[in-house]
Amino acid sequence: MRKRKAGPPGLFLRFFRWFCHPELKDYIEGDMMELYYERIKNKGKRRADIKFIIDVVLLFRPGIIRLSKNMKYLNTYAMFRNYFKVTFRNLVRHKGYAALNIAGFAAGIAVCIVILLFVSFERSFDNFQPDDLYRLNEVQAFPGMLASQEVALSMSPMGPALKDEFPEIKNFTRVSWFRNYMVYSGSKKAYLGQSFLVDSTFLQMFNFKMIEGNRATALMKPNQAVLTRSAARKIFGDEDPLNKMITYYSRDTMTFMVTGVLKDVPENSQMQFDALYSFSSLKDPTLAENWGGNWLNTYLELQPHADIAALEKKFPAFLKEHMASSEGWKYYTLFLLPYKNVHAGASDIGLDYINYHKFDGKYTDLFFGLALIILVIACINFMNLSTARSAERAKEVGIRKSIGSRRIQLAFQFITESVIMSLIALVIALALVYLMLPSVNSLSQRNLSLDFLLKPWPAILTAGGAVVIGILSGIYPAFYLSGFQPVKVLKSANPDGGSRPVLRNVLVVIQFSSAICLMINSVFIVRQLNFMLSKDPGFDKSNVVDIELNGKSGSNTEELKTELLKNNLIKGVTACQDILGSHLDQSTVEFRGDGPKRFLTATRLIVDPDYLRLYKIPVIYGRDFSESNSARGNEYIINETFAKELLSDEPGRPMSSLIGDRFGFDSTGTIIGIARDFNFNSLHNKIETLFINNNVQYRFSHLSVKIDGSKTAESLACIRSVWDSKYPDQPFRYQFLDDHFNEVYQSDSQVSSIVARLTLLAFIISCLGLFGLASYSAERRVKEVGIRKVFGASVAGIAVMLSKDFIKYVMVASVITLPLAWFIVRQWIRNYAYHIPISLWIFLVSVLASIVIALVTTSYQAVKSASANPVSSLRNE
Amino acid sequence: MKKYQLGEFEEIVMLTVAILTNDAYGVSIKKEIESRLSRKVSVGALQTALKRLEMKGYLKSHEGEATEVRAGRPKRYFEVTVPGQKAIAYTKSIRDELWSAIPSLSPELKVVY
Repeated sequence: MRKRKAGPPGLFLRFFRWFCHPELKDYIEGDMMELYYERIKNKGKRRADIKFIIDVVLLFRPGIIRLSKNMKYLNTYAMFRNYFKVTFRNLVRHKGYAALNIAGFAAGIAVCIVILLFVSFERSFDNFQPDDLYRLNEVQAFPGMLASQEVALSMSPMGPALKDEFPEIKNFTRVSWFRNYMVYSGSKKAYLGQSFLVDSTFLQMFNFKMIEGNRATALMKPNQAVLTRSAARKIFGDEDPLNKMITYYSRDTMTFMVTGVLKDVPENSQMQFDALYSFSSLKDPTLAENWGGNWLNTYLELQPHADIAALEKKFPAFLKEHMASSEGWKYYTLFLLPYKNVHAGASDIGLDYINYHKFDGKYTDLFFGLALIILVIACINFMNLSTARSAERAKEVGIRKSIGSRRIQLAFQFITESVIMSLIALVIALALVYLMLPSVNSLSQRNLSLDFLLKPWPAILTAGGAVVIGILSGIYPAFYLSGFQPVKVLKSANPDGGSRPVLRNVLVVIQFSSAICLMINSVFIVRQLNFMLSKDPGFDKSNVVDIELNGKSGSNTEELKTELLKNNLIKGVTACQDILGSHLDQSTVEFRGDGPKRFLTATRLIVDPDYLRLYKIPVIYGRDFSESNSARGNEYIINETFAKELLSDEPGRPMSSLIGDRFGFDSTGTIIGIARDFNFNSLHNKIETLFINNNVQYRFSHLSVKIDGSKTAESLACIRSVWDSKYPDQPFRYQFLDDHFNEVYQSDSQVSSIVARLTLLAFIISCLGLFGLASYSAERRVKEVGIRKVFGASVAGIAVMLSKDFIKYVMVASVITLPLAWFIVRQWIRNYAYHIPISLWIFLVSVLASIVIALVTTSYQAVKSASANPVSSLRNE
Repeated sequence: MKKYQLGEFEEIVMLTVAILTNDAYGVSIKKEIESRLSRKVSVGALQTALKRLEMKGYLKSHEGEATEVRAGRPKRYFEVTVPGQKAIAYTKSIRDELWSAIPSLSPELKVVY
């Protein structure tokens, strides 16, 4: 016999029971059932079912539907006041825990804010410029160089030619730069930091606000200048600078008329300048027309939605056409980079002189990700610590429930607590950020500030963000705590919260893994940095002061040298074209050995004869430069790498056979010696091919002075006085070579500081998490500890037993993290041509250190539980 | 002079409750209206009306017995209250006044009256 469904359609019955007002439910349901059974008798089940369904549907009307629960809470305001009161009472009663919880939260939020400030500043670079602007860059691959390089430079005639030949290119502007020079106006003089030589189109292409002057015409004619407002103030005070003249002394004296004033360039612009000069002021037309000399940057404005790839494909033909005579087109490839990406995306591009505080966008993204991770970890910690204290709130929950509180209300109360704690944490975090900002700013060379909070919208959003974080972090503990059953908790005050805290354990393991990984990485970074700073670079850079030469002082170094050497604090003086450790210039040289003439490109260093001696660079074959006048200009010394490169086709030949071969800019010179390789660049790069030329007619830009290391201040004073006596109106700019090299590694040292601090933070957070876990576990095992003590266990024994579990977590974390950390270290350390080996002991020591840290954290709880009086814990049995 | 707001359906429901005296609950009211007036009454409309009348104070209810056929749910009996009586009386008198004010257009009307 087929089983028929008894009773009315269950779905609709349930539906009815759900929406019906509780007061009416029973009676109406009774009526419905009475009717139903009557209808079955009269018309059969089918009709009865249909009518039942119709009736239920028709009952779905306002008068019958129950009021939603929210409507019951007409006294929400009163409840909120109660929640606030209770929250504060709780915070005050358990100051220790509250402080720990809020502090952890605050630390996480503070770090998050700092990182977000940095990231938002970085991302805001050049956001005020129009789209469709691109920078022209080159890939240079000359014979003689070990590897091709991407550079930000371009040739002067490229811009105009490109605009003429390619309709996709709407406009172009060239930018060349010079720094640190004096500008005069009548009797006033001022020192300008960096200025640009630009085409007249510069002001039209870029959005730099013009306060005075006409954007279209300001730089059209030669000898016109536009100043920024602070530059104008420096020179002219409060007078209107328009149409006044300024003079600039260098190789040639040039006079400019001021035709405009710009608003100061903002911090978030890749181009920073104090003044702009018209490109047409260039006195030497060959410079402007020269195909082959890369000494400026070119920026292009393209048609909107131009096809970049297609355009770039046309460039090789373009180059071939213009450089057919010199074969130079073979060595260059042109490519475009969107202007707005230049700040973040040009890390691999060298010779990038006007890219203010260039910072790889990948790191910015990384930091953003880190900020989020830290925030998540802080929230998770908050959850852990809140649930760890559950025993203390259990009674409260039990009582509230038995009086009639609904679970949702309780959850709401706990969420309110979390939100309040997170708001307090926000305030503390802001204070922390305020204190940290100066050091962060000096570390990162940025100018971050909390000013954005002064505007209403960001402030509201920040507070809102804190509320959201509070809610999200508070949800889990709220539902956990509100789920206690009154019977259980009021009886024994031991909530035993149902599900085992698997999630919590996983979280602690994750926290410790990241902390250990960070620790390993930071140890490696610090060691690598120390290695780079202390590694013998192949030359002696101690006690060397580098002095900038300019104009007059650069062309007559012999005099300066003799003057300085008169003083016996000065141990040596030599002049050179550039300071070691920066990116030295390169040029093409000819080499004629036994075979045909070869053209190669290598790094070039032009010096006076004493150079190698002062820096103690050994000459391993041949001889050093001679002092005699006749030899000047013709003597060349190459480094080992270059020698190997020259002999690359004949590996059997010894290097010494190169001595005497013709070499030089016009093959007029000879190789007189081969020097041992030394690191003239940072240790990021392998040693490139280098040739050194002794040419005292050269206008040198740097003077290296070796001083007496024990009397630094006096030596400096001595140099200064000699300088002032010879060149009183030229600024005395000097730098210790050691400091310069430290600067070269500055970004590395910045990264290492940051990673070290993050490690510290990660450990603090992990320990907080572990602490919470330990407390929770200690609470649950109160009775167990009591019983063990009664049976004679010692305090130490129990403490060890309790801590054992947590050491397990740390071990698991280490096992997980070791391969990951190894992989990460390998990735970045490869970027350094010279790096420390990846030693195993560093990994082991880090793990050990983490274990010790974990032990210390849990010991507090462990010892506290172990010393508890068993009488009080077993009393309630 | 109080105003007794009474809808058409509400009035019918009240009159039916008065007719049924001690036996007025959901199903019986519904059946009575359906048989007397030959019109379909939905449980929902009826229950809403009853609830509203009770809120206005024209009806009062008390709980009745539960029977098996009602799946164990109790009945809810309604009675007309004193204000309720006044309400329907008032309504009736209004109707009467209106009827009497109709001018005599045909002798049949007068005869009916």
